[in-house]
Amino acid sequence: MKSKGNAYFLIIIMVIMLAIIIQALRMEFYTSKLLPLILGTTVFILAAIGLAQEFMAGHKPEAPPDTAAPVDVVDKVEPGLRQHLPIASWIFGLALAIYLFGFIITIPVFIIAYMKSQGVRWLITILSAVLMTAFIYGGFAVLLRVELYRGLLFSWLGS
Amino acid sequence: MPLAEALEALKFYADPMMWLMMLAAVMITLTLGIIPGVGGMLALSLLFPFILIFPQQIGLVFAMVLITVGAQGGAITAILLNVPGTTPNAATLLDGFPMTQKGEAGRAIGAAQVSSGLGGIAGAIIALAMVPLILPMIMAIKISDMVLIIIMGLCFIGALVGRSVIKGLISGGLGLIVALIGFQPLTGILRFTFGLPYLWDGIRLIPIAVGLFAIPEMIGIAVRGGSIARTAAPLKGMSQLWEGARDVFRHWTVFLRSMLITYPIGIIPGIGANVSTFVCYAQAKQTSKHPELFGTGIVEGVIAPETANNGKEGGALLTTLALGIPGSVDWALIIGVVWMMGITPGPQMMTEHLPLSLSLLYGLVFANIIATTTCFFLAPQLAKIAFVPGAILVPLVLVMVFVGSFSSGEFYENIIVTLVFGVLGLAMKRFGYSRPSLLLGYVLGFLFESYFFHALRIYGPLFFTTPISLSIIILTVAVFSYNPMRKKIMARRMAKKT
Repeated sequence: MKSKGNAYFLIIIMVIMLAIIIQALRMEFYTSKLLPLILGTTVFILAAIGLAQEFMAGHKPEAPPDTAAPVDVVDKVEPGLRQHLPIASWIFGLALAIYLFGFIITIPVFIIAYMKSQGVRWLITILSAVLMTAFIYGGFAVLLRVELYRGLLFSWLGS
Repeated sequence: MPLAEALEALKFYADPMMWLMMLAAVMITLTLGIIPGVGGMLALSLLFPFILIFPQQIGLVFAMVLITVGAQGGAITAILLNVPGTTPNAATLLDGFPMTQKGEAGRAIGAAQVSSGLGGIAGAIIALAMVPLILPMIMAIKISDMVLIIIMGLCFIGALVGRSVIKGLISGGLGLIVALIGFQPLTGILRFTFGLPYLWDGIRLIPIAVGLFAIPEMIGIAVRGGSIARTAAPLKGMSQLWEGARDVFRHWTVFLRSMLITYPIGIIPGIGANVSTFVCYAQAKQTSKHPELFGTGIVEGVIAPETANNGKEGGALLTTLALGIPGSVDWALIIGVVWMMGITPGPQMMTEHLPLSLSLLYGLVFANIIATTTCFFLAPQLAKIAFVPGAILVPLVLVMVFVGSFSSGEFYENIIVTLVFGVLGLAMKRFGYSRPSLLLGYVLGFLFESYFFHALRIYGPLFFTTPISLSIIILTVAVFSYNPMRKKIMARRMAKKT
């Protein structure tokens, strides 16, 4: 098999497409079900072909040719899943903190926590946190009149 | 060229705000273009909410500048630091960095900026000249033809971006399926909402865009660690820069040949700068009197790919405006911007909204002038941006990602969508699937279904038998068959030789 990860990815796609096809068959009107059936079936078949190619190919390293990423900066040896865990934790932690405490509290705390964990100097850390919070508040809350999410805690306290 | 519309388009540039926003867009995209992994597409997806508060012409020009001139900033890192700022700059470093090693960094940068800027201007002027020629063709396009045009666009982008046709088509198909979520206008039925009111209006564009493009890139930067560059080559004065600028005129045949190659490539959907820069570099080498010098630091090796970088944008813009199919993958986001402004992307851009479309072509000319001038005089200062550590960049961009995502409708669920598409984007990047194809499929999905059923009702099941539709089918099949047939012929020739 060329790439286990890609094989699992394709299997997940096939399972999702099957679910879409089953859901589509239950829809009432043909105009509602036609396109989901056509697309679901097409992508399912394409994924199956891709999976077959994975099994038929020998052991060759998978080249990631996504053109949204610079050629030279894409690592020649792909970092393993473990190396992604720290940053993934930070990202999910940020999302959770926003949910609980809202944007205005979370933004400066996250910036300071992340930068200090990476060894950035205090001056740059504080400056970045202050400027970014000011930009978000000024740009989104004032200019775009977006009501920034207050968080579960402050919504509960406010109610 | 329809004169009245051309003059009306020019009037948009009497507004000082237009120039201010163009300058801002140039500075933002040049700055971000210097940092590998962070380019115009990321900038556009982060700045989406701001674009929509401006008048249509200003917002669209701002968005267009973000994705078209960023490669000029990327050329600076490619030449000085041997790291391509954006993917299309990968060909520039073949001779750009060796020139730096020979002490000719300024000459390389001067040549890169002038050839890129002139290429962009020439491409825009050619596109302007072509407008009167393509208008009659656009008038002939029917709804049924639009169905095939969308399929062709998705097939081209899916197949020509990246190395795997299957993966590209899967990406496009996934995008089309995502577009099906929510309320279907034709029947009033809710599809794939799983009882969640949030999904009744479908999934929003901004959370998808920032999830797909920003999160995987920030994860990549965080995992790599450090800053992009650690040592810099000095840039010695302005005299070398002017020397490089003169080189473009000395080697005007290299420039011209690159334009002749890159402009048609820009017109064809899906084939972007990544292909055209290397093709132009290869042709410059093949036609040179000294091909053995390429790769050792020769200025023609910088002029050819950099001309291609911006030279293709005029053609790509024309395809995007005329057909509603992105000329290259970056333009997929522009289609999203057009759609969010309440304009239907496609032939109507060249009929009902012709002044707006022409203003974009003018904007391409002006933006290239501004970007070239800026890069020319500020190259050493801009290069310092590559030293910004990932530890500073990553948290700032992540915060922007989540705020930008939330601001689209003010739903916390947008952040969950961003996370889901962030994971999907990471997997797609790792396994070589085309993220722009997915986004394009999503953006065009709504139109596709509408055109499809209208075509069925008006023309019946044989709606695809019009001359234009049949031509599109033949062209698509020809493009898909070309590579396998070429491989078969080459294999037969090899077998005969042995």
